[in-house]
Amino acid sequence: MDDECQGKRRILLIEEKADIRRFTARVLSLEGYEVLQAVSAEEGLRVARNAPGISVVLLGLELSNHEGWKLLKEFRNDPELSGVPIVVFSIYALPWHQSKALRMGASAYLTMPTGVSELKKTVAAVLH
Amino acid sequence: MQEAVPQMITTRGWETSPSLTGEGFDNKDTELLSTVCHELRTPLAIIRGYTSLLLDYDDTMQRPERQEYVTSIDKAASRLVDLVEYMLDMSRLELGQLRLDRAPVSISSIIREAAAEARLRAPGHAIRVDIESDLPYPCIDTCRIRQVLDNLLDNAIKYSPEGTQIVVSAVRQGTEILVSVSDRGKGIPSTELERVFQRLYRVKCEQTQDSKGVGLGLAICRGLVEAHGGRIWIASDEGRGSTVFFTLPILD
Repeated sequence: MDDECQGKRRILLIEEKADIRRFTARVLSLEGYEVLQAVSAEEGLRVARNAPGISVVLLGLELSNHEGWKLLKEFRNDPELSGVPIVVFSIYALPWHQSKALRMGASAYLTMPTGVSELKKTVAAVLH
Repeated sequence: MQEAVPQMITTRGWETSPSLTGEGFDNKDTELLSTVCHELRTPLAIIRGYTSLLLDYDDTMQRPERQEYVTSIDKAASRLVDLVEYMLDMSRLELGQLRLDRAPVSISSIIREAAAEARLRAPGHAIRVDIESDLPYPCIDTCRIRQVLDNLLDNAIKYSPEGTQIVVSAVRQGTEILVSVSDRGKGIPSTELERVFQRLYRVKCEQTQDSKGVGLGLAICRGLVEAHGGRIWIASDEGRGSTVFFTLPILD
């Protein structure tokens, strides 16, 4: 961690779509978070296991081959990572989708399209 | 064209499906609605996200960053327009309301123009045109046949690696003109060939692991070709490429 990042809350963002990832990462970094990015479930899990001090994980549920859901389960079952709050985001606004994600251990569910304020509020609420 | 998007949901097989009024949607309707909503939400997420980013942090951004976001918004908006057009075409075809503006035209010119523009979109592919000389003029709707060619060329580009050749050819066969677009991609398994012209059929893109689009492109191509009195089919050699053929009748 370089000097600039010291003291910043660290967020891991896992999302496949470049445009969505760029938007989310930019908002969070403008809000003063340090954002680590991963483009696949495999990379996300690797970063989560190797980077210390992750305060929250933002997980895009629409990773290829349903990997988003599998990854959510894997995070919750991993003793090292099970305590890290996870905000999942999805382009599906279906209520059963949301309740399933919360039942599986997600701390919050964000429906895309989302604006800056919802994203900021959700992350802040999970962190506090 | 000022048709409202919600009207699409009143097309045959959607609203009038008995299952919609009784015990809910049938599987095919649900799948179509779900796919369309999914496809609409991704560009909407990009538009909403970047717009709010620009509104909230405008004073902290330099011009290049703003340009980058506006470009993303523009691309997402174009994608939405394309999706809506696809849906409208599909509904017109299903309702039999597609109007063709037919006139005798040079199919060679249409193919050459489509190929020239495809080369600009895909400079990494070698797009070759092979057209028999002195082809008669079929009586067709230029825009609609161009739409078919663009769709077939885009599929060929999407599903074949850069550096390979795509060939568009046209020959006379009896009372028809036979047009084909062939690529040297991975091809399609023989068990799936029958399904590619069905709506919602999508081939997974090797490069992106993404099933791009709604899966209506080839279904629309089939509708457009059949509306002209032609036929469309595909031949594929798995591992070596695919060729889509379509015919256009020559009217005396």
